[in-house]
Amino acid sequence: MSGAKIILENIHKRYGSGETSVDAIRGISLVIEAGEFVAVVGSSGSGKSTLLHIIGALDRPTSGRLFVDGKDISKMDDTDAAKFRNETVGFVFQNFYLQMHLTAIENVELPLLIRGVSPDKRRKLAKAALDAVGLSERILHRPNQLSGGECQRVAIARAMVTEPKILLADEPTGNLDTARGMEIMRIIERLNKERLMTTIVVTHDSAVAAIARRRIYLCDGVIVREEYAGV
Amino acid sequence: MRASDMCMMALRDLKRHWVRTLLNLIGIGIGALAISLVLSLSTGLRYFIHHQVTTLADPKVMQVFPTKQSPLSFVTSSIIGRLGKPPRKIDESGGMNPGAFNLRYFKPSEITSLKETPHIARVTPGVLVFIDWIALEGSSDRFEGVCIPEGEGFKMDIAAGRGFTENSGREVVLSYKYLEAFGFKRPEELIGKNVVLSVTKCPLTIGGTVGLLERLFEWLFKREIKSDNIRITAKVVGLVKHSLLSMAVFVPSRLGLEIARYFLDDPSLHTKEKFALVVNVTVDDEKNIEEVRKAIEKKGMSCITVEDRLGFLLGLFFIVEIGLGVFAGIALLVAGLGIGNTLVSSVYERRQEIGIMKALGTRSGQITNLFCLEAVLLGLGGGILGCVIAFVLASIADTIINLTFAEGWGGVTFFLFNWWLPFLTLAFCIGCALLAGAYPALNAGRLDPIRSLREE
Repeated sequence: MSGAKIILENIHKRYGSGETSVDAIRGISLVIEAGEFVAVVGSSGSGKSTLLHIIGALDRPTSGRLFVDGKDISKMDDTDAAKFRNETVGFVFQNFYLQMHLTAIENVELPLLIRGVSPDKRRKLAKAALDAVGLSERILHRPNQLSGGECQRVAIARAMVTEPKILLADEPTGNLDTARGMEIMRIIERLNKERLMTTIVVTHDSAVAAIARRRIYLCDGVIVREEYAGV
Repeated sequence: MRASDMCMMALRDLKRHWVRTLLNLIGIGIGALAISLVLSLSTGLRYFIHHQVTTLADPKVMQVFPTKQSPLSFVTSSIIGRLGKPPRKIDESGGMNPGAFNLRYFKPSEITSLKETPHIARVTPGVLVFIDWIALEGSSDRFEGVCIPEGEGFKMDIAAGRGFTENSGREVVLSYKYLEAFGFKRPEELIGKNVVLSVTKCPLTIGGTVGLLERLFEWLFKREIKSDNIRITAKVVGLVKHSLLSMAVFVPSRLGLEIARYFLDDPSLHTKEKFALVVNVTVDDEKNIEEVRKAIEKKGMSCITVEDRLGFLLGLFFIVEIGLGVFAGIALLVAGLGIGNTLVSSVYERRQEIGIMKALGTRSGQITNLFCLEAVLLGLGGGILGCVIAFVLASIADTIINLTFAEGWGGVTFFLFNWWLPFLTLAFCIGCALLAGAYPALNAGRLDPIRSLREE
């Protein structure tokens, strides 16, 4: 298993039109190598989440091109974008976004269910994913029976269960205390190392960003600075 | 996504909001119940009417009139039109006023011409007879009765005793209900006994119409109009099976003629000169009916067959069916709107869930299908519920009717559940649910994943 190379060419994203329009991203060009661990850092409204949504094909750029392993995903139709999200990308959100009426293992099974994997196989894969995040004892608990850190671990297991090439995490520690937040980041870091998937973490927390080997700083929709760990 | 997984997801979502689901199922169930009952009643009554008419009426006998238009078609078209058929051309002597119908006696040449028509086995005068009452000989208890001369197109479905023979004179065959009316239990107790038929002379009349007006006058002004009256004694030779003709008093054609001549006070009636206003034509074989009809119409006459009468009755019934169908349709429509409303609120409540599903790779079409499936399941569930309740209610209603109104008829099914009826009802329900669910389902599919994820 390996990650995917991501190339962004002059990406723009504008919301609305006319005088009320807002430019969330203003001409970002970037290359992220396969297996790289990148932190996108910026304050609220800097465009970091928008950038993550565009890379994950949840949103489309207004202009510019985005290549993942050489394939232009900025022009994909809805069906192809959905397939891309299911097969290539794993999302982790700040609010976990777990289905409250499903158990931990059922939440983790969801991407596999969408893909059409048989019940036996998806149960096996979901168990393994939960085991990888240290939650094998709580697979039948519902999200309201789990702590915030456990919920985020379930969300990470759900993102990993399809063995995606890209892991996108949007403020994964935003709803957790510092200790639980760092715990989550260590899990993400370990998974990045073990599975070699391209990992992009959006954060405003410099301590969280420090775990990544490369840090990209955004301000008002443009890249203002880049840093590499140890450089 | 596998179909089985999609079904499980839809079922799980319905179960999650079970109160709302239950209310929807009840709503659709009521619609399905109404549709099932209307369809089964309509089928059952159609079958009943068809069965009664074909059982009572002899399909080989038709009534022939010497004019181009028969009174039945004339009156029918004057009152209710031609039920979707285009207007017919009217000749100079015709018109739409029912009172303008020209009654006249058959000419001897016309009777000869009829008798010479291929496939016509028998031509007898149409005899119009009324009796005042019928009573057992020696008893003072009088009962009402409808006198039907043999050969008037009614079948005598003998349940006990026998029918008439060629030599039958003063004999009668009665409806089975007279057994009960006369206070007997077994047919053998009545068969062989004599009954008295009272016939009142109605002079001045043609067709007895004025005689009926006299009765009306008598009733309105409580004044007795003096009229002659005879008593005819006849022997009961048989009983006919239970049917709608519960007051039938069948008499042989010879006795029918005798009563008619006295009733209309015209001894020359039904002789060669004054044969009849209407004749009963018996065809040799049922399959030749249409050929004979064409031949008769070619001669400038008109006729009414059993099929015509059936068509007239079913035509009237069709209007009732439409009314019932509209009510049932409205019930289902209201239930459908309930489903639409439920799914609209469901989509609104589950926007974040939809957003998560989309972020995980669910296609818009799959989201739409999921909501459509929920609508279909509601329609299917409600439809099955309605069909089952309808079947139970119909069985109970049939049992009650057979124990009361239709007692002794040998089990009549008024609510007839044909094999296709549940399928048709379910198709209606599913179609209605799908129609109502289409808008919210499409909306769910179109939801933007990022906006949906931000919904709390």
